This record gives sequence, structure tokens and C-alpha cells, in this order.
Amino acid sequence: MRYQDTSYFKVGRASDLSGNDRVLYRLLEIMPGLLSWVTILGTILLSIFAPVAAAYFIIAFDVFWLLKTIYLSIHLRHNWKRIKYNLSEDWAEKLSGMKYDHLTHMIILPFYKESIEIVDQSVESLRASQYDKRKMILVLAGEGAVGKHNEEVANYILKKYGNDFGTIIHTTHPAHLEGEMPGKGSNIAYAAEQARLRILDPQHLDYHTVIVSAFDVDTVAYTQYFLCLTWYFLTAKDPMKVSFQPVPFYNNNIWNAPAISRVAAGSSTFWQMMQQERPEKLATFSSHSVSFQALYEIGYWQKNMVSEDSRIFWNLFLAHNGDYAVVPISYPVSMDANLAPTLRQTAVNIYKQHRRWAWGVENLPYFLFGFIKNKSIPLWTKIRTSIVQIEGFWSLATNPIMIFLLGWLPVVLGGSRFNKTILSYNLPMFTRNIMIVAMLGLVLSAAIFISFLPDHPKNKKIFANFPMVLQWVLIPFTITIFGAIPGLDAQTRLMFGKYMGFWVTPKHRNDK
Amino acid sequence: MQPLSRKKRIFYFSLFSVIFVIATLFLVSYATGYRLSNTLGVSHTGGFYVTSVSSGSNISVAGKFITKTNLFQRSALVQNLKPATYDISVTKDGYQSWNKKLLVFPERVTEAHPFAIKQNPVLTQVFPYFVEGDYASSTDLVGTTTKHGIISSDYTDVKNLFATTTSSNGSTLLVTATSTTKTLRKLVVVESKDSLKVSWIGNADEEPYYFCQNDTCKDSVDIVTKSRVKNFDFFPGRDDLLVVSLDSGIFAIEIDNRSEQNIQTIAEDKNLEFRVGSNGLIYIKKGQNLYSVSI
Repeated sequence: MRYQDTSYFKVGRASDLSGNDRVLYRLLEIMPGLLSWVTILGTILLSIFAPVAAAYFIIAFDVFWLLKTIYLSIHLRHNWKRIKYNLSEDWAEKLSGMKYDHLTHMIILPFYKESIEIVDQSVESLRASQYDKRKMILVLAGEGAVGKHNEEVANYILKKYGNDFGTIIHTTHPAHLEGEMPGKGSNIAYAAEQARLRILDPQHLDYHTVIVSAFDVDTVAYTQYFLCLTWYFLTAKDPMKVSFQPVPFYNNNIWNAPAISRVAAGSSTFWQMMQQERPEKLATFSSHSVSFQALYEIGYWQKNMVSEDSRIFWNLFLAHNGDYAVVPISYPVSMDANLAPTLRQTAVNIYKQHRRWAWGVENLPYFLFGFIKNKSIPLWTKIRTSIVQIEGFWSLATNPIMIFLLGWLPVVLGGSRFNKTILSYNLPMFTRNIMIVAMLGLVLSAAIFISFLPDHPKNKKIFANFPMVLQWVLIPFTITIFGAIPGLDAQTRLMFGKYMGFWVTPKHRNDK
Repeated sequence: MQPLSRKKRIFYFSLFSVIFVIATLFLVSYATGYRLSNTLGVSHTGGFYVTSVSSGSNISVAGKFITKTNLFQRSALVQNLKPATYDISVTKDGYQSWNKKLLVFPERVTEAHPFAIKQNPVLTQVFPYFVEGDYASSTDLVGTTTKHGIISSDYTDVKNLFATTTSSNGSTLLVTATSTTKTLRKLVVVESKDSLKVSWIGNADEEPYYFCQNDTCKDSVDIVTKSRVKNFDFFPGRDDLLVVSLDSGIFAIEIDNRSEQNIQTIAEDKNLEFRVGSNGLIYIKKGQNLYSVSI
């Protein structure tokens, strides 16, 4: 039996299973949170009962963190050059010797309560993109749950852009369908099937030739995005066995977003840029592209969980017995940075958004369970992938806390005997100095961030550029508050079976 | 443009793995006091942690100037010292100097908490009245009006301090026929047979630094003075320093007897009495006059 035909292929959580499978899945759900908490609490206990060992561990961890920072910076810098190269490339020219008129791009744009203005900007970017619009299908995927607003947005877009694309349709995902969790996954899965029935089949389009881009509603495509994507699709070894991942820039409203939002957004971009150079660590995230055939074979995105953007990759990975990958295309799409009417609300939204992203940890039990069940995946692939992914989630939730909060623990908890050692005096100094050296890397961060900023708005003074540089001193704060803590929060919820629902990031524009 | 090649990534990963192992071993060794010696051997070092109560103090170890303390940095960590005995001195213009010979042990930090009292502490008299000539008046039953000076409440407080046998700095006092005992937190100072014995009755883990050298700790510390101790108390804000009244005056004496105890003069004269106020000031009584000391 193929793995995608098993009853557990689209399991959402342990309670979807029964018997031993349920116990096993539950243990795998507990594992990431347990690992992170054992690390943090273990360091605290070690600081009390074996402060010297704790100090050795913290020094080793400091060195590890510094080297990891440098190692990742090398990847970041290379990807920076690659994105700049790809942005300067003439992809039409590059495709000129290739046959690609048989390909069709289907863009699924799911929306919920977002304003017409936000949907309009995204659709406008599609219209402005350099690609034959006759070969583009736009699927406006609305939610029935929002009633009138869904119709208003759809009517506006259909009226304004009805003749601009090969086909444009509006789908309305019915609310409260059985076995579904409200969210993007259930919406775009419904929309994809509707598109198949209403467009692909009537037009006799081969599913292998349709490239689906599942965009977030605020995704603004750069002008040559679809040309670039087409090139990568055509040059992929087997385009049915890969997904395509652009780099999310959060530039749409960057000049109006506050510093914490800009730094959090910039950090997310940098993380994706580093991952683009480490494709074995990459799962699809946010806006991504994949062949319709691959999607159709597995029944589209999962409808019963939150992180459908990453889960689709793991679905495909397991369905193809590990012979599936992400192609990092190192070409950006622009999205919204978090922005709310007040700074406090912005901070709350950033936290919630990052917690939802960190909830991607729900994929860990999914694919680990799949590795146990699917005997066709090579053992080494299972081991390597498991280590890489577990380390990723563990790092997210523990590393900033270890670096910024735990360096002084043995000194505080180690007792007077430890405090009389030269080690206890050196430990805080080492941690501080290593942090300072690591912070020098922020110069690179600032330079990259500035280089990708959209044009300086006319209503902003030239001094607005300075905060774009100075903001990076907030990094120790943002990677702890908006990185590690929401990461730990998500893992703890999964550990205790307090499953999260889909939280839609409010989109707010402030053009003052 | 191609992504970072696998070959390069493996190279970086391998390089950083090697650096990690080497750097961690080096830093752990360094942090615990191991140093390369001139003969390319490895020596196991320790250090001093010297604090200063005030900024502008010069800290020297073995005759070598280490640092001058300032508002933000009032202490100095001196590392890379081979195990031996070192002279530490802390000096500041206008203040009495502090000198101590202390041992350095491998991997350990020997603490030193100097003190410095002005070379000429200023005695400010506490007057009974706010301002001379400032009077209040009262009328008795037969209608006679009398003028009184307004008595300063500070004067009353200090006078009351000397009316009792104890100070009011948080220490407790127990007087018996043969000895006087003062206790501050878990420190007990007993005056007996013209000497002071300081003992720690608290948790061994919280024992003050001067009871121990390396991992060897004493039960008590003796303070021997040149003459009979007339009175003693803890120095304000310090649990490693005593104020003692001797025949020749009032002195600050450190409890720490890891080497010769430092004694600094607060006031030199015969027949002086002192008390430590709850406000952290030392008061001296000479005859009927009361003084506060600026040290």
C-alpha cells in the first residue's frame, strides 16, 4: 500500500489515531517540548548541584553559538549575493531558448477578513508581473464564514481584473465542514479542488503542467517572479518531486512598521535566506509553489491542522518515500510586516504570529511517525532528516534563552564554594565577550536589510533610515521574546496536548 | 548563480567543528586558570578579587599597579597569578592605606575587602540646640515666663545612644559578669580576657571569606589589641570590620587575620566613648560633648 493511502497519512494529532499508534504519536508530540525543557531545567539544576560542569557546558555552548552565528552568516551572505544576482537577472532572456508555453501558473490567493486594499495590491502585482497572463489562473479563495465581506472583495477583484488573466475564479470555502480546522489549509485545499473541477478539467489541462503558487493574501510578487519560478521548474531534475520556495521579504509596509516588528520580520527573512543555502533543512514555508500533479496525488493540503504550509512538504516527502525536496529559488516575494494600530498590539501580534510559526513543531511528530511507519524511506535519510529537524526546533526554543539568560546561572545558584573559583569570575565575562563578538554580525544584518528595503517613501524624512540600522541592537530582545519564548510556548502546548487553532495575522496598513 | 556548494559547506562545517573542539578546550582550561608558562609548560594559576569602598583608590599587587577604581568599577579581578603569597595594597590620597599579604591558590580567587578611613577624620559636634539664641518660651502656673533653648532631636537621639550600653546598628548585645558578646546576623564577637574572638554560627556555605583559605576554614578568628578593649561594635555596613575603643582612642580593625590585621585610626585621644547609630554613623563622646565622625 502506498503511504498516502494509509489511514494515518493525514493525521492531524494523536487523538486522530487509536491504539498503539495513538500512544506512539502522543509520545512524539511530547518529545520536542520535553527536550527543550530538559535542556533549560537541566542547566538550572546542573548550576545548583554541579556548577563547575554547568559552567563548562555554558562555555562550550557559548563557543558553539558563536561559531554557529559565523557559520550561518556565511550562508546568509552567500544567499544575499544570490538574491541580488537573481533580482538583476533577465529571466525572460534566460527562458528564451526554452519551451514553456505549455506551462500554466495557478495562483491561489486565500483571504479572510483582510481589506480589499490588501487583496488588490497582491492581485495588482500579479497583473504587473512579466508573464503571459493568458497562462495564469487566479483563484480567489474566500471564506464563507465572513459572509458579505467575502462577496464584496471577490466582486471588486473580479470586476477590476476579470479580463487580465487567462482565468480568474472565486471560490467560497464553506464554514464548519466536518473534519476540518478553520484556516488556510482547508481553504486552499478546497480552492485547489474547485479549480480542478472548474478550470483544469474543462480546459483539459495536464496537471503536470500546472504550477500552483499558494500565496498568503498579502504576497506581492516581484515582476519576474513567475519567469524565475518557471526557469527553476523547467531545470529541476524532476519537477514533480520538488516544491519551490521563494524568500519572504516583509517589505509591503516596512516603512510604517515599528522597530520591533521590522527586526522580527528581518530576522525571519534572514532565517529563510540561510535555509535557502541549506536545502536539506528547508521545508516549505508561507508562500510556496508546487506542481498541481504532486498536490492532486496526495489530496492537496491538510485540512485538520495549522501549519499546512510546511505539512504539505512532509506529506509529499513521505508520499515519495523521502525522494522529495525543496528547491530554494532565492527570489523574493514581499509580504506585510506586523503592524497594528498600537505598539502593544503590534507586539502581541508578532508574538502570536511567531507562536503560530513555531507551532510548525506539530510536523515533527508527523514525519517521525511517518519515518517509523514508512519502511521504504532509506534509513540514513530518516536519521539525517530527524537530527536536522529536531535540532532546528530545539535551537529555536532554547538557544537564545541559554545565551542571554542562563550565562550567569552557576554564579547565582552555584553556592559560595563555586563562587570562590576563578571559573565563576570568568564565566560571565566569557559569555558577555562572546555575545559582543557575535553581535558584530549584526553589521551584516543591517547592511542586508538596508539593501533590500523598498524605495524611501516621500513622506518619510531621510532620518528614517537611521532607525533601520540602529534597530538591530534589539536582536537579543526580539530573538528571545519573539523567537525562543513563543517557540517554547508552542512546544509546551503540544507537549500537554493543548492544540492550537489557526490564528490569522491581522493585516493593517498605516500610510501616515 | 549556484547555491553554496556542498563541498564548501562540508569544509566550513568541518573547520568550525575543529575550531569548536579546540576553542572549547582552550577556553575551559583558561577559565579554570591554566596558563602557558614561559618554558612552554602549563601552570595552574589563581587570582585575587579586590574590592574598594570608594572610587579613586589605587590597587596594587606585588608592587605592580593594577587599576584605579572609579564610579563604575570599584573592584579588580587580578588573574594569571602563580600560587604564592602576594602583597596587596590599596591607597587613596587623604586616606589611610591598607596592606595585606594573601595567598593565591590554583583555580581559586582569594577575596580581599580593604577599607580606608580618612587620615584626619572630621569630628562634627552635635549641639543640643538648633541655633544658639533660638528660644521657646513657657509660662508656669503663677504666670512667670521662662525662655528655653529648643533642643535638637538629633542631640537627644545621640545622647540616648550613649545612655545605653548598646549601639543601634542591628547588632545584639549580651553582657555577663565575665564577657561581652555582640552578634550581627550569624557572626558572634565575644570579648574575653582582653581579646576578641569572632565566630560564625551560620551555615558553612555562607561563611564569610576571611574564615577560609582555599577550602580550609577556621571556627573562629582572634583579634589581639595593644591594650584593653573598652568597647566594640561592628563597623557600619560591614561584617568584616569592627570599631573598637582602646585606651589610646577609637580604631577600625579588620577581622580578617589571614595575615596581619589592618588597624586604622578613627579618633586618637584618651577617655573616648563611641556608639554606632542606626543611620550608619559613628558617634563619639568626649567629656560631655558629642560628635559625629566623617570617615
